[in-house]
Amino acid sequence: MGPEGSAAGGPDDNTMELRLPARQGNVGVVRVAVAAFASALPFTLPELEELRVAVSEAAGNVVLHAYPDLDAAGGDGGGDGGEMVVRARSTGGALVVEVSDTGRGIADVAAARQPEFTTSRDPEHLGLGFTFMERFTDALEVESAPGRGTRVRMTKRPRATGTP
Amino acid sequence: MELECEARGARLIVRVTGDLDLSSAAAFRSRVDGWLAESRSRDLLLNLRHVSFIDSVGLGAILGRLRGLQRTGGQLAIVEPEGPVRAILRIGGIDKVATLFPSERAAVAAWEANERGA
Ligand SMILES: Nc1ncnc2c1ncn2[C@@H]1O[C@H](COP(=O)(O)OP(=O)(O)O)[C@@H](O)[C@H]1O
Ligand SMILES: [Mg+2]
Repeated sequence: MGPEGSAAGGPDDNTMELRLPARQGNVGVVRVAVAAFASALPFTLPELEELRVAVSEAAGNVVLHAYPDLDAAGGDGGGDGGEMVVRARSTGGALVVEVSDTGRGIADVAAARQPEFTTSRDPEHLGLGFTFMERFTDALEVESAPGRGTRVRMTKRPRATGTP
Repeated sequence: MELECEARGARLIVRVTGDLDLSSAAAFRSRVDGWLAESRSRDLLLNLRHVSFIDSVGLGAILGRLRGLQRTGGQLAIVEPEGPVRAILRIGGIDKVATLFPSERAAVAAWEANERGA
């Protein structure tokens, strides 16, 4: 590869991109793929579990909330409605995972991130997805534009090598 | 996710294996509620020992069953999973709403002791 091929950075840096129909069954696919990608970093098993939860919450939100037609079908409309894109990158010893969609977006991100905030009609949806993402990663950024989509970016560093 | 149930008098034991998450929560809900109604059980023991993954939707499904039991004066006991999944459940606050046990045997023993005391 020429110099432009090193856009990913140093020799230990790595990238992955997944593009899947937004359906329930694919949340598990994303979880397994990101955990496998992350296992190249020195994460402990509890840290990997936290990552699995955080990533599942982000991907699950795409399935549940991004595409209203899917939502109406109980979150499993067969994937005709839209896609989720997952990008993972390891750089400088940290893992960055982005989950994005081109769905309906979030009008008030600050409100949506509050614990127990939910627009779900299902009384058993706790509204704790963003809370888990925040709690189980080192940084959570949410960018969203109503009608255009949402991008959630999470950064997680292995504790053993992270700055205290 | 796989579910197995065993009715013991006024109590129902449900053993969960696999992922309790977005894609299995609805089945968990309807099957456990069905068994509770059918067996006319008052209390529920959820054996989560072999749960390999839980997310906020799975946690919500457990808390949803708890709410149902509370309406009829029943109790929820939980056998905790091992390892990192246990930590996730605790962070989700499960220890504040259910009685946690390290094994099914310990949970049943506590039930029986309770019975004798009552
Ligand atoms: N990808 C998304 N597209 C559209 N809306 C979303 C998306 N992710 C989250 N939301 C909104 O943010 C709210 C809070 O999300 P979350 O904390 O995961 O709770 P829950 O999924 O239980 O509702 C959701 O109810 C929904 O309104
Ligand atoms: Mg959610």
